[in-house]
Amino acid sequence: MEQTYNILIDERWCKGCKLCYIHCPTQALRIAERFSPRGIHPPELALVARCNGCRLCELLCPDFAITVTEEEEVALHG
Amino acid sequence: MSTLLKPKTAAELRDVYLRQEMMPTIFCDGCGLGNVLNYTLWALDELQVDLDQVVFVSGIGCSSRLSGYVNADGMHTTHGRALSFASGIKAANPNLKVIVFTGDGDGAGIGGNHLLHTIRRNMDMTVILVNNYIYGMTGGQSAPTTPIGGLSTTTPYGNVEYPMDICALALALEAPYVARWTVNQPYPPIKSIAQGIAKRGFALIEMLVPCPTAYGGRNGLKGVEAIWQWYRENTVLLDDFEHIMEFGTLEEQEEIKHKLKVGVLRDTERESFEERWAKLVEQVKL
Repeated sequence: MEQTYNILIDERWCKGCKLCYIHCPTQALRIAERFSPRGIHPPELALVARCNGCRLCELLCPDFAITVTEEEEVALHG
Repeated sequence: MSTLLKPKTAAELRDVYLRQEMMPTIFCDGCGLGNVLNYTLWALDELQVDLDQVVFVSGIGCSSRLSGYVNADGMHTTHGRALSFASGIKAANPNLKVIVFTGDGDGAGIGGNHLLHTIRRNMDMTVILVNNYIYGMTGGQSAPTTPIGGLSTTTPYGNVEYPMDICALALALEAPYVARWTVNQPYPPIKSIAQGIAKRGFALIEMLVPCPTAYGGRNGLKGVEAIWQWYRENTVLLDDFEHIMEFGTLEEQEEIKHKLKVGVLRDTERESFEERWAKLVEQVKL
């Protein structure tokens, strides 16, 4: 059993300051290629397995745009 | 550390505490003011304070926009006079919790005298003084906190005036709670702001906030990452500082000597204005 996390980004509020990307202790985030409706490159969770759910990005986001959610527990085979 | 906060998310926090129609904030990319708001709201959430019993007061400047984003009663007052208005609110209704957002230019520069006398009076309020070393909103003029050599629009060849240490001022005037934090780590400021709000008497929390637009760009710290890194490298925790000064090697001591000390600088009890006033009223009653 392994707990995985997902990161929800409110693209109406994200300004693309990259603070979450700079501070992520496990480098699980990356800046997306696509544009958000505000015209910036939003961050996204690139490596789900790396994210340990520390919620640093959620607490550091100056615009309240990030929410870390716990995913359903997935049973790993073997 | 995860037990410190209640299992809530930022999405739930903003639904309860923010005026949604005001968002997103006007602050620049990489500004730490949004973080100060974020930490204050988490601190209020930790204390489970009723928002109807809280009043946010602010003066003029980038930092003073913060009171407008919170879904509570607030006042956006004249430049430097936030503390005077806050004193009036507190004197009229001592049951309210008063939180003041002010900047270094607003609180320590233009309203410096009000800061002195509000601390001296020991009004029961929490002052979150955001220090970004510059007058950001008005275009980057030098503030009383601008370091020596700091470039700004009014000091294009470098600042020659000695900067002011706001926490040292508050310590000298015997404020019961004085703390200084950077916005780089979320948990210590959240805990400290909660302590400040719970404290009976004047609580001053100086937040060192990066200003990449008005200060960083002119002073060789262009970009979000550079200026946030500067704050991480040039501050030292008070506990670490004392520990290294006592047990560290000479090189280690030399390295941290010039750094800014962050942490809770004082946490004591002192009778507040309201308590003394209530006693006086009791004493002179006919």
